[in-house]
Amino acid sequence: MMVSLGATLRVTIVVGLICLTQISAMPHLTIAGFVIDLFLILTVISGILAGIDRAVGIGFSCGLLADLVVNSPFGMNTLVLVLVGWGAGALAPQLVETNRVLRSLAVGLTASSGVALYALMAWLIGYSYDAENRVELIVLITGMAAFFVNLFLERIVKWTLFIEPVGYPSKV
Amino acid sequence: MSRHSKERRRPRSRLRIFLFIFTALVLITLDARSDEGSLTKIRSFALDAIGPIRSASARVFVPIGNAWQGITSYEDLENRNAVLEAKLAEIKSSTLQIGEIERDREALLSLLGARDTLRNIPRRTARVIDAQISNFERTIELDKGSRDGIKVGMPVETGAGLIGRVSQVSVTRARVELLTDPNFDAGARLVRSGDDGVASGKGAGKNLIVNFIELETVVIPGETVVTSGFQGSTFPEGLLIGTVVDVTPNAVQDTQRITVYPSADLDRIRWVSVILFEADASGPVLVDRDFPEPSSESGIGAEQNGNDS
Repeated sequence: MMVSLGATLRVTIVVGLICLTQISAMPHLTIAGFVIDLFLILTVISGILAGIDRAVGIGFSCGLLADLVVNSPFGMNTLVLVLVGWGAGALAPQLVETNRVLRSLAVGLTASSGVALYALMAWLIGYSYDAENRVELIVLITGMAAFFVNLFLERIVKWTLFIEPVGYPSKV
Repeated sequence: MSRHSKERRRPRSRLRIFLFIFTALVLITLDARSDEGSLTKIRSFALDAIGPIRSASARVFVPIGNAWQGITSYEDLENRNAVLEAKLAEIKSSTLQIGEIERDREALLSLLGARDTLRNIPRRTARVIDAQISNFERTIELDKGSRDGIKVGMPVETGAGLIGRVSQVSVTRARVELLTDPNFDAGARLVRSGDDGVASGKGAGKNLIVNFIELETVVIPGETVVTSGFQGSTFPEGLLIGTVVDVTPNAVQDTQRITVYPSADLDRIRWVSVILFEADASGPVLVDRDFPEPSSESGIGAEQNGNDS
């Protein structure tokens, strides 16, 4: 896939800013004590708007950054976000031309599935974490937050990935 | 994009996804196989790199976060306030009594020629920088690191009791694994009976469980539980863990399962003391007092080396 320097630069800037927001602001702006995972939401939105190729790339970058700053097994966030990007990207053809509310709903549901996938992956590799008894709450809150975050993050992602207003990406 | 070029791209796209997944699996394997490997170093470097950003942003976002919490968790805050007021009244009534007991204890210790080892272990006061970044970890970050003598495994407490142990250290920062974490285990002792068991975390908001207490041991709710400090333990003897709230006998294993309410409030920690105690040392590790005084953002004395000795 041909990716221009401009596109790479935009992706780098946006992923960097999301990372900065995640480590600085999000730990303080919790909902019922839960942190909103912007890395996950960005990956899902990228998948739904731009398809598998770009979503797995963004998921991989976001996952590596998340692995650097959190204490879970290194690579776990990367693996989950690549799989989430793949899943979200597979939904793209059905969703790109729907209205924004429907897309937000899809983002919310996919982000929730991402959290569930993380919990499943943690169980598979035997990683115990503090919030084990509250996974269903994290799933619910992440889904709801993703729905609202998508309403404004979608524009940023479209700008980042050079997506035409119609919805599907034009050539980069 | 033409249908033909899309079809041509598909195998490359799949290869890319496969490579990403493969890389992630390799990273997970490497992380699992090495305790102090290069991945740990990379993480420590990242911890140092993002530390100043998080400290600076905390100044901006903590007040916003507090206001946000006030809006979203008002009822919870009211309930907490009521509980704290009740606790304060209880503490006020018992302070005088504790003072007397403490004086008696010290007199007895001096009569016996014994040393209060826990008090003599140097401590390092640290400010809690920030809350967790992810929902799947519950660690707190401190503004002190290896240059302040902090090492992985050292116990961390507040005035109210043990809160966890240091799980990751970089030059300027340290991360603390809280005692409610499912990976947390510590030797525990029931103060009244002197019986020992193992305290384990059961997840956020849940009480600790102490296992391996003999069935014959009489355990009373409200009884104090402290660390046992066996040889090789990462915790010195006598650190307050919490109080017994429930006892469940297990006749099959001939033991009791004790539920313990942690004495320290793990939700709103601002300052902590890192106890400079090392697991394999035969006694408390006395840390060089000439550590360079780190530039403290706190404004409060960064050092409490041997503060009570």
